This record gives sequence, structure tokens and C-alpha cells, in this order.
Amino acid sequence: MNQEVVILVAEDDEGHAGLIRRNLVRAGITNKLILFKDGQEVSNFLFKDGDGPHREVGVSYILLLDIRMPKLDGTEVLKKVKADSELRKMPVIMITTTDDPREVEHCHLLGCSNYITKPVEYDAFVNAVRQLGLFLSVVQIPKVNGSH
Amino acid sequence: MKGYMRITDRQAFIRRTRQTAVWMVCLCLISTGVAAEVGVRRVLVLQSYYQGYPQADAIQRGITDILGSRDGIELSVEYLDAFHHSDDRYISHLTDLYYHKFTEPGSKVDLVIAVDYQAYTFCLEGRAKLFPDAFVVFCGLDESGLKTPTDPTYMTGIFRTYSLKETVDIGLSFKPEAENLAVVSGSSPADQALYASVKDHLAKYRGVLNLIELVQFEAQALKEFLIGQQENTIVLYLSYSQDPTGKAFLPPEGARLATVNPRLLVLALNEEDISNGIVGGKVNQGYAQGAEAARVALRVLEEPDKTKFSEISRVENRYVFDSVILRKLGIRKEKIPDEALLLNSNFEQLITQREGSGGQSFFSYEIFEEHSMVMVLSEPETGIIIEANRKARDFYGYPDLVGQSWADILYVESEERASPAGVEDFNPDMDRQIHRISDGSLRNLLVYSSEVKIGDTPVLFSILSDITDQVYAEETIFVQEKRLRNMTIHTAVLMVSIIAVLIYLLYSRKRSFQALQSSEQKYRQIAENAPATVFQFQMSREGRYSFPYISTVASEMTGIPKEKITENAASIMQIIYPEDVPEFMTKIRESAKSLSYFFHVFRCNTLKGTIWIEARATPNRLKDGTTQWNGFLVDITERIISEKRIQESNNRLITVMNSIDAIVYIADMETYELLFVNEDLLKAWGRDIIGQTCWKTIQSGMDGPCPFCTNHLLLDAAGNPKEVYQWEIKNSTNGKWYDCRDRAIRWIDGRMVRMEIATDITERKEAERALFESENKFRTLFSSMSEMVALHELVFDAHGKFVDYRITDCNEAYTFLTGMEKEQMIGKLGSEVYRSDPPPFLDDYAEVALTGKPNHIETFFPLFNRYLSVSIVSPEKNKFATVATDISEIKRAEKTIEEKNEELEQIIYVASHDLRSPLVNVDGYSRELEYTVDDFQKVLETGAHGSERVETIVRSALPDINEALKHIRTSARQMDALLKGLLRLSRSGRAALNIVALDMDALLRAVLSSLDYQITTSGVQIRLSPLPSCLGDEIQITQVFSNLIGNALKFLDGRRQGVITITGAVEKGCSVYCVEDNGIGIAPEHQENIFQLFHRLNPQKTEGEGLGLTIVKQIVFRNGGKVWVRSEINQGSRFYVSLPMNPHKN
Repeated sequence: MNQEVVILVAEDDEGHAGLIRRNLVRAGITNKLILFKDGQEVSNFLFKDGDGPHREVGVSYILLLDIRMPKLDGTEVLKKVKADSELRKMPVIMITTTDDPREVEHCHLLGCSNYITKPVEYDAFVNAVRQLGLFLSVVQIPKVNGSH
Repeated sequence: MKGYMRITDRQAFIRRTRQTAVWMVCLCLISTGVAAEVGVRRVLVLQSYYQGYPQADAIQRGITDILGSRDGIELSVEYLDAFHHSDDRYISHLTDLYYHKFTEPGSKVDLVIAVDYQAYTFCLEGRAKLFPDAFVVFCGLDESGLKTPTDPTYMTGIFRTYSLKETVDIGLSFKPEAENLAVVSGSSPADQALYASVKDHLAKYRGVLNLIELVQFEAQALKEFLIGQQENTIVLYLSYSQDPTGKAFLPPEGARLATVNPRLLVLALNEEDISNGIVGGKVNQGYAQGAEAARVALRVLEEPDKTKFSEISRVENRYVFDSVILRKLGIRKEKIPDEALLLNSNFEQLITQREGSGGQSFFSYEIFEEHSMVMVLSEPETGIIIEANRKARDFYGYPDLVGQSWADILYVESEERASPAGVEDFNPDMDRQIHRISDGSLRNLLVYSSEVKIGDTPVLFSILSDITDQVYAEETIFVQEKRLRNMTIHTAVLMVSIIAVLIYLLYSRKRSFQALQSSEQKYRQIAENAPATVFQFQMSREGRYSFPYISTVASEMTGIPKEKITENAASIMQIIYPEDVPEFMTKIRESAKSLSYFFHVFRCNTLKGTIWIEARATPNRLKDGTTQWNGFLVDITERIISEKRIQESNNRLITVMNSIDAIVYIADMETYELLFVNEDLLKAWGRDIIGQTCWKTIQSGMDGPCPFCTNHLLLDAAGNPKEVYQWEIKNSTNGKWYDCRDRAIRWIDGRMVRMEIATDITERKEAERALFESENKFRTLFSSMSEMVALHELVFDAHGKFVDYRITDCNEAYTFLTGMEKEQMIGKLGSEVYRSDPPPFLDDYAEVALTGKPNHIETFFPLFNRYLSVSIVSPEKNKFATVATDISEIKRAEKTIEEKNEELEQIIYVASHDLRSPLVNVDGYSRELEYTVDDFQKVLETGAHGSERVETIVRSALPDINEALKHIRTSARQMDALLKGLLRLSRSGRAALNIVALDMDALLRAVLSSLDYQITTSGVQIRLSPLPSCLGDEIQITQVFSNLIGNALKFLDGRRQGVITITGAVEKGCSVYCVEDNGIGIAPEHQENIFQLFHRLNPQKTEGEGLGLTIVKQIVFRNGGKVWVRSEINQGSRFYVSLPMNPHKN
């Protein structure tokens, strides 16, 4: 994967965020990773709102989005991203604890690129993140603002 | 063929009749023997009147008394009836008739007595032709009436004289104060002759009195003049036998004209005029003249030397007065000459006797009982008879009259007739009345009534005199003329002949048949068409009978030659129906015995078939004891047939009435007598009820006319029939229902009667009742069913487009639904009732009403705040019924289920996200620890690296291990908190509710007090307004406000002074409370999530497990309320809680 690609992780559970980071590293994904602890923070970053860090022009981003988060939940963020002409090309991977098919269906409809469940059984979780790493290594990540 | 023959026979008969009619009629009118006898002298009395004319009768009586019983004299009478017919053609016919009659050999007349002016004239003119050898004696003639000097060779007579002077003078002596003398005279030749003979004498009173000559006046003018006169006028009645138009007046009629004013003194010159109100006078008398004429006739017949009779003699007049009139006028007896004859003195005598006894007892009982006059005592007030004498009992034919009322006896012919004798304003006067006697016949009576006293009791004393025959004679012609007028022309011609013969026979006198006729044409018609057979029938004492004469028509009628009948009377008896013979003979014998008028109808077998004959005859007793009847037979077959036809037509009517599928009856409106009932009624009642009283017979248990009788509704104020009146009644006799149509109709006899056509409608009524019951049943069901039912009809606009619907009916449940009275809804438009235009569901309803296809809708009616399930059906086009079920409770339950499901959904969600999240950490970090432990294991196993190397590795791994353990332990705590929260929620959702009225002020004070520490530390300002009461569980509601205020305290904005305001109000039946803060507020996108389970907005910043508002929502819902939020970010939030209000407060 292009090393310039920045991985954005929106995950309210620090434990989950740590596990994701560890396994991404294990899968050989060493790209810059920014962690957000709720939907609101990542939203602010992407849409350049608030006091916190904002995205940079000409950088490619990939967003890993937890669904159940305080303030703004993952589906809401997904909706906003897909509604934005600049951000809509950005790959969004949903990471969630539930395997409710309705929820999966709902996120696909909203335009998520992939969907990863967080299995309680850790090997499966590790596998899933590895799969994600594999996915990230082959996919062309468009630069935000239309430039590659 | 038979009918044709009849006509031919009849024509032949007419031809024959034309030739012989005169002769035949002449013959038939001779009442006494027609066969000549040698040695017998024939005397013919010729008079121009007829029987019943008083003076002529009196003269004739005088003649008959002298000559009638004389041997060798055969007396006959001819009536010229010139009284009615005075024209020349008539006289000429009469002459022809007499010519045939009296010039035949053996029928010559030896002497003629002409009894009046016209008979005298007739003799003068016709003697040479008719009786050339006969001597003529005249009487009833005034000297001034003599036309030529009498030729003594064949004529002599007696002059009638008038005592005018004596009469007027005695009148003046009665009324010395008299100033006027009114003279009444008519227009006939005889009237004029009389007037002429007194005219000169009258002239002498000029100067003494005002002479008013009422000569040849119209009857009406005469009456009016006399009525207008005062008592100082004396009337002198000469005679009035014709008015100026030629109309005849009978002597009583003429006299009554003159006495029209009862206060006037009326004098007369002829004895026969007295009574009828005339007081009297010095009068000539017919009887004396007749007797004198008869004596002269006898002398003439015996004396060959006729010259001895050249002297014309006179008969002396006499004073005659009517006692009753004298009395009435108050003329005392002393003023009357001693030799005067008093008429009606019986009455007068009685009255005198009564007055003589001082009004106490007028005479003895014996006199009363045995008196030859009918006498009756009665109560003046009531008219009830208290005593009647033998004569009265015989007359009326009742064994006892006592107890009867005059009203029962009195026959009131018309209003003109006098009221019964027992009236208050009694007038001691004579009254003409008609009474009905026991055999049902009517008698004319002259009634003299006067009030007498027996003891102190006033009693009405009445003396009655039978004047029937007299009145009958007077009225017959009048009645028959009236009848004639009423008949059709065709019938009239027929009847003229019958009446002609009838009149003749009634008086048993001969009269010229022609006398009725004034022209050849009429005469012929009568002769040709007269259906009557004229006969003379005699029966000897021994019972031998014969027909001395029978007219030719008899042959036509009976088919037996006339000669055969006269030869052998039995020949006609033989053709009488055998079963009719006994009655016929009985009647004949009766008539012979009592000399009563014979009237009988019987059947005969003739060649033409059965004919009905009506026989009328008047009997006379001849000297040898033989009874002789003069009469006529009329073939009344056609009348009987037509009567039968009427009967048939009547039967047809009855058939029609009977074929009507209804009962029909006709009843008298006053007596309630049933006059007609049809067969249906007879069948229904099972007996003949005609003649019975309707209310007694048709209804049951009535003690008077039915209270529901419709008689008064059938006539208008003027007594005319109104429209048909229709009504229904349940008959009290048979229990059936009838539809009655009543109408007043005029019955055959002219009275008003009620006719009712009543149709049996019992079945219909039963059906109606059944329908009513069924309707009632359904109505009850309809009203009592819990479903809300309403019936509607569509309302269309001018273009035929439905625009609304109207409620036509609804049940109780429906009123409960709408909260409106039935009356407020029925007939109202949907748009009015539901306050919406177009009304709710118009399109859906209209589709059902128009297509008839039922539909069903389930919806929330905001107006009623209810969920309804509505079935729509169309009972008929443009109408529809809605059957609605209240499904609000179901809906509420559904909503509850929905909320529960939502809650469950949340729990599932929580389970899949929140509960899994810590597990992911636990498992993940445990694995990480495993990895670390594996790494350590490898290092230790190789052991090559030395303890330093191991230490380095372990040390480097320690932060990761710590982190993993921290995550594991955090997750475990997180799990525990979540499970505890779920448990709490579950407990709060299952806690028993104790709903009571809550004092919210107290409740909130308690909540605030429990939060006192937080409030104090946060320095927040609390504002609490007075709150309305509500219904709820105290513990749970305390929890609700504790959570809300706790939240408010948690989310205060540190940059400003915190303020929490608690307010409340009652809105739409709910107590609504608001907890307002000026804290951080909630962004709109988060507001919908805040009530979700375990939802936390700022997990890092604040405490709590994210359950508070979820529990608030659950509690409020379980307590029947709602919770919602209004908030603005950085401004603050307002949480609203609505709970059921306390109905007994606020």
C-alpha cells in the first residue's frame, strides 16, 4: 500500500483501537494511523470543523469506522462522507461488533467499501484485520481533492 | 212471432176502438142499469160538477131523497165536468157522446133536472138533439142567469135567491164598528153570474161602508189584500171557483181564500160555504132546492098539462152560522136570530158546559166516556194521554190509549203541519192534523183542543173529528196533478187515463170520459192507450156474480171475448191463478160486506201468458141487496216486470255489494237502524241483522252509539255529504281489523244514511304487528349493540355529484362515540356533525353507497380521539351504513407491544454491540497476553539468551501486558455495569404500579432535598413554580424527576451560573411538567437518541451508564404519560413530562 495513505480509525473503545492497530502492524500495514474516539471527532477532522486536527489537501485517506459511538455514530458519519463530493471516493470500512445482517445491508446501501465484524473470538478478529491489510495493500486509494 | 202478433192485434184493436170508442166509453160510465124497462120513467140529473162539490151534492141529495126511492122512477146522473172544461169543443164532444147514449131506443130520457147554470145552458142548447121529448126542470140557477124566457111546454124550474141584505146587515150587527165591506168573487161564468145577481144590492151599501170589490182577482193578490186588512173590514164571500187564468178552485179552496185572515168576519151567501172559517149568513141551501126541484119533477111527470108549470118558484133562505167561528170572533148568541141553524154546535156545547162548571169539572165521566165524539185528555207539557173515551179507543184502534203520546200518533207530513196538540202556547182553536191509527193508516182530523183544570192540574182536552174523506176529496186532484207533473211524458199519457178512471171510480159517480180532455188528440190518445178494462161487477146476496158490463179492452187483456164474460162471469174467474182465487174471493166478500173499496192484484193465465192484473172497484149496495162494483182492471204486467227489473237491478247492486271483498252496510244516521247489509256482513255475523241497531249488532258491549262513530264526520255544517272518511278499527265483536270507508249517501226515501265499506285488514295488521315486533327486536339489538352503527344517505349537488352525506339514524353506541344526542345528529349532514367539509371518508363511503360493494377501513378519528374499525355496507343505492368498532384499546395495546418491541430491539442491540464490545477486548487482550506468554515461553525454552536477555524481553513486554490487563479489567467492569443497568431497567419495568393522586409540589420538594448535596456543590439556582396535581405511582414519578434534575445538574455549562426551572400546567386533560436548564444543550441530531438504552453523549466527561432517560421514558409510559425534549446546543434543554391530570383537582 502506498505509504502516503493515512489510515483514520474512529473507535470509541480504546481497547478495540489498540487491537486494530496491533493487528494492522502485524499484517504489515505501517501507514500513518490517526485515531478518533468518536464520530464527532472524525467528522470534525474530515469536514475541517472544530478545534482538533483537520485533514490535509492532497493526502489519501482510508477510514475505518466503528458503528456504535457516542455523539455521532458510524452510520451517521458514513452518511456525511458519502454525501460529500470530495470525500465520497474515500474508502470507508465499517468495523462493528454486531453481525446483524440488517446493519450490514444498511451500511452497504450507504456506500461503505467494506465491512468487518469484530468477532469476540480473537483469531477471527486478527484474521479480519489481516484481510483488511491485504485489501488495503492492493487497493488504489484516491487522493482527496481528486488528485492521485 | 208472438210479439209481432200482439202488435197486429193491438192495431186492430185501436182501429176498432176509434170507431166505437165514444160509444163504449159512454156505456161504461153509466152506473145504474142500462137495460130499458117498460113503464119506468127515466129521470136524468145533469150537473156540471162532480161528486164532492158541496152545493151540487146538496142539491143532488135533495133530489135523490125525493126521487131515489120512488117506484117507477129510474134516476141517473151525468156529470158534465164543465167545472174544469168550459170550451165549446168539449161541449160539442159531450153532445156527441150523449147523442149516442140517449137517442138509442129504450134509453130515452123522460125528464132532465139541470142542477146548475151550466147544466141549464147545456140543456137549452142540446135538448132538441139529445132529449127532444124530455121535460127540463132546472134549479141552482139565479134569476139573472136565465137566458131566454122559459118555454113552459118543456121547461120549468126553481130560482136560487140570495139574501144579501140580511146577510150584510147581520154581519154589521156583529161588527157595528165595521167600515169596509170586501166582496170576493171569482172568474168563472157561475162566479160572474152570482156577482151580477147581487151587484145592484151591493151598490146600496156605498156610502154606508167602503165597498171593496175583490172581483176576478188573482188568488195571491186576494190573499195579500185580505191579510193586510184590519178588523173593521167585513168580507162577503160570493164564490171563487176559477181564477182569472181559468184555474179551478174547489169550493173549500175558494172559501179558504176569503178566510185567510182569521181576524176578519167573513159572510157567505151559500150554505155549503159555511165552515172553512166563514161565520155564516142568511144563505140559500142546495138541499132544499134539490128537493123542491124533485117535487116539481114528480108533478111534471104525473101532470100531462105542462102549462101549469109556467110559474118559476123560489125557495126560502135561512140563517146558518158556525158556532165555533162565532165563538172565536166573540159574537154573543143573543145577536143570532132564534130560527138560525148552528153548525158545529157539539164543540160549542162542550165548551159552554166546561165554562159553566167553573173550569173544575166540565162534565161527568159518563158523558165523556159515552160521547159520540172522539175525546182525549192529555198532559199539556208532555202530550202524554191520560184518558181517552170509548170512541177514541175505537177510532185509533188501541185497546188503551193511556200512556201514549201525541207525538206517537201525530203524523208530521212537513213543517207546515201544526205541532202536536200539547204545546205551551195553546190556542183554543181548531187545528187540522194527521194522525196515524193502529192499522197504520193516516186519518185527517179536525182537532179542537183546550186547556182545562182537574183539581189544580192543567189538562189538555181534545175533541177530534174525522175529516179524512173530505180532505181526501179535496186533495186527490191536487195530488194527482202533482204526480202527473212528476212523471215522464210517456208515462204521463198512460197515467192520465188511469187517473181519469180512478177519479171517476173513487167517487162512484158517472162522468164523461171526455170530461178530462179538451181536445180530440188527447181524447184519442187516452181511448187508444187506456190499458184499463172498465167493468161493472155484481154479486147477489146469495153469492151469484155477474159482469153486467165489461169494456172491450177486457178481451184484449184476458183473451176472452167480452160477450163471453158478460154471459158467464165464471169465464174470467177461471183464468185467475188457482192459488190467487181464495184471496180474491175473500177480498170481494170483505168489500161486499163492509162496502169498502176493493183493491187487489192477482195473476191470470191468458193466451199471452201470465199477466198481472190490478183491480180497483167501489162497491154500492143495490135495493135488492145485490152488491155492485164499478171499477177497472189494469194490466200491470209490465209494471210488475219493470218492478222485477228494478228488483233485478237491485239484486245486481246487491250482487255487486256482495262481491265486494269487504263488508258493506247502510245505517240510518239518527236511529242507527241497519237498512242494508251485504252478504259478507251477514256471513261474518251469521244472522240477519237488517233492521237492528248498528252499535248493538256490529259492535259488542256498547251501551250507546259507538264513541268512535264517524257519523258527525260525514256531513258538513249544511248537512250535505262530505268526502269519504277513511279509518281503521278493531271490531269488538270478532276482533278483526277493518279499514273503513264511510260516506253519507241519500237513501231511496231521501234521508241521509251512512254507508260503510269495511275491508278486513287483520292479516295486514298482523303482518304490521309482526313487522313492528321484528323491527322492535332489531331496534333493540340496534340500540344495545356495542358497535356504533349509523345509517346515512348520500347528498348530491345539482350536477348529481355526491358532496356530502346525511345521517338518517344511529344507535346509542354511536351517540356515546360522538358525545352528541341522537336528535342533534339525525337529519344532519356529515359535514356538520364531523365539522369537516367534505365530511370524513366521503369518497370511500360514496363508493360503497353507489356500487353496493362493502368496504372496511381502520383509522384514527382525531375528532373522537379514537381508533375505529369501520365496516361500510350499502342497504340500498345511495345509502350506506357504517358499523364501527372502537379499536383504540387494541391500538393502545399494539402501541405498547410496539414500544416493548422497541425496547427489546434496543436490548438486542445493546447485547450485540455494547455487551460484545467488552468481550472483544477481554478475548483480544487475553490473546495478546497469550502471545506475550508464548514469547516468554520461547525465550525461556531456548534459554540461550541468558537472564539479561530474558529480563530485557520481559521488561519490554510489561507495558503491553499492563495495557492488556487494564483493558480486560475495564471491559469486565463495563460488562458488569451494563448487566446491572439491564437488571434495573427490567425491575423498573416490572414494578407494581400504585397510581394515586400526587401532590407534585411536595414530590418535587422531596426530590430537590435528596439532591441537595449536588445542588449545593454545583451552586445551581433552582426555581420551582406551583405545580398541578396528577395521577401516578409516587416512587416511580419521584425517580423520573430525580433523573431529569440529575441530568440537568450533570450537563450544566461551566461557563455560566446554572439555573434549573421546574414549572407545570394543565393542558388537554393532562398535567404537563417541564424541567428546564441552561446547560450545554443537545444538538438536534442527538436528541432522538438520548432516550435510547445505554446511550451516552459524553462517556468520557460524565458519569452514568446511559440508562437514566431510558428509565424515565419507561416509567412515564407506564404511568400513562409522555416525555419529550426541546433543546438547543449551548443554550439548554427542556424536558417535558405529561401525566394524567387529577380529575378531582385543577
